[in-house]
Amino acid sequence: MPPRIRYIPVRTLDLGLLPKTSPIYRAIPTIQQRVKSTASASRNSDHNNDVDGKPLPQAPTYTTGLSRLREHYATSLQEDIMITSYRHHHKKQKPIPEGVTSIPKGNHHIKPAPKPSSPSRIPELVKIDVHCMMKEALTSKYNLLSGIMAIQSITGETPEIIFAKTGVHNWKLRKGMPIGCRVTLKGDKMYQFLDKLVEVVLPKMKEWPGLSEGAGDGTGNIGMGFPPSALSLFPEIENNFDMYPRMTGFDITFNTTAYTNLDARLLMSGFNMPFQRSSAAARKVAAEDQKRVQQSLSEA
Amino acid sequence: MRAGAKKGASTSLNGDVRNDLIKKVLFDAPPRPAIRLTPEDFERHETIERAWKLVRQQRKQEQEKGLARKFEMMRKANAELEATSPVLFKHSQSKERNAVFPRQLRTLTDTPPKQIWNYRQPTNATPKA
Repeated sequence: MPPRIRYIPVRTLDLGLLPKTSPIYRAIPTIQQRVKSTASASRNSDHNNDVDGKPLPQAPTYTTGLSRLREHYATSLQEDIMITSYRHHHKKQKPIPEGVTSIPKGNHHIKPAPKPSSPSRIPELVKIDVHCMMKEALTSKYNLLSGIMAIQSITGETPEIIFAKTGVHNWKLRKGMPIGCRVTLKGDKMYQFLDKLVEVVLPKMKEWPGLSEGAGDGTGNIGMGFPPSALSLFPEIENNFDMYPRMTGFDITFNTTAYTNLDARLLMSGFNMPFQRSSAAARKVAAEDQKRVQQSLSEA
Repeated sequence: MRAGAKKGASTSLNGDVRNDLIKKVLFDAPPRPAIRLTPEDFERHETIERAWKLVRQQRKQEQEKGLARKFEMMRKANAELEATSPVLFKHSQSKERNAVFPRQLRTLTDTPPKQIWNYRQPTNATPKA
């Protein structure tokens, strides 16, 4: 008898009430016996498998477990953020009832009420959404391939294609047209991407003074956009720039557990994300620094 | 148009050969075969995964205990100040708007930087001529 071999499980196709001993399981090779194990959780996760359960052609995510920015957050940032964002008296606001998506109040909608400060509720980066919408996909859907490939190269995960929910006649957009792509990064991949962004891409961007000092959506998330020129600054794309037919812009959303803009900005600044009032202020600061350097050199 | 692509008679997507390659890589690449482990190897693999998970769990618990301790001390200090002097307490609660970490904050690295300390960095204390 051949030795019993355990297959590393992929997500099993749901065949309803059909028993696992049914011969259909042997007939279709991609379906395998589901084995409950702790390790299978990472392999069965959405980012490793395609929609129909087949494993994706890219390598499974086995990391060393070391993540520079995650450790930086845990050792350097977390306590300081806890102290800085501490509020001794909690402003009691009327909580939004369950199931209600939005309550209009005049011109704006009421945001979810922040909860009282707690050591288990410290602002933390949860996920990063990278989204790209290509106008060129209106004329031909194959133009979107370049954007999908570019985002996959940058992030390391295959983005999902976004189809238009409604049609807009003026822009020649029809409902159901593929128009953009989006990927959600969590965990180590997220920190790796943020690391690349902050160390390599943002310093190379010309005339970018930093995120606005008022940046944030009011509920603790920060978004930013990039022009097509920023795509070529990523090391993965810089090396084989010619293989991408079209350079496209994209936007990034940092999703945090902070409740306010202040806390969100504090958190992102801890990861060396620069914030600046305006390019005029940045130029002023740069001019002052240069003047002081020149003075100190002349004195020395 | 890329050199080598015939004008008008191209079978590639949207007239670009690179799109063919991209489409193949993204959608048509064959999936990797499932990894097969013997029961012994599987046990080893599982043991390693569980051990690492346990280590991470223990570290996280220690971290959380430390944070809870510090938070409790902070809360007690605030409460004591409030009981002692309402004026001082009120002043202590006002926050600097747009408080951010300094730009010079250095994220931890494996090795030290090339320039350990910039002695020529101009500061606000530098006397002007």
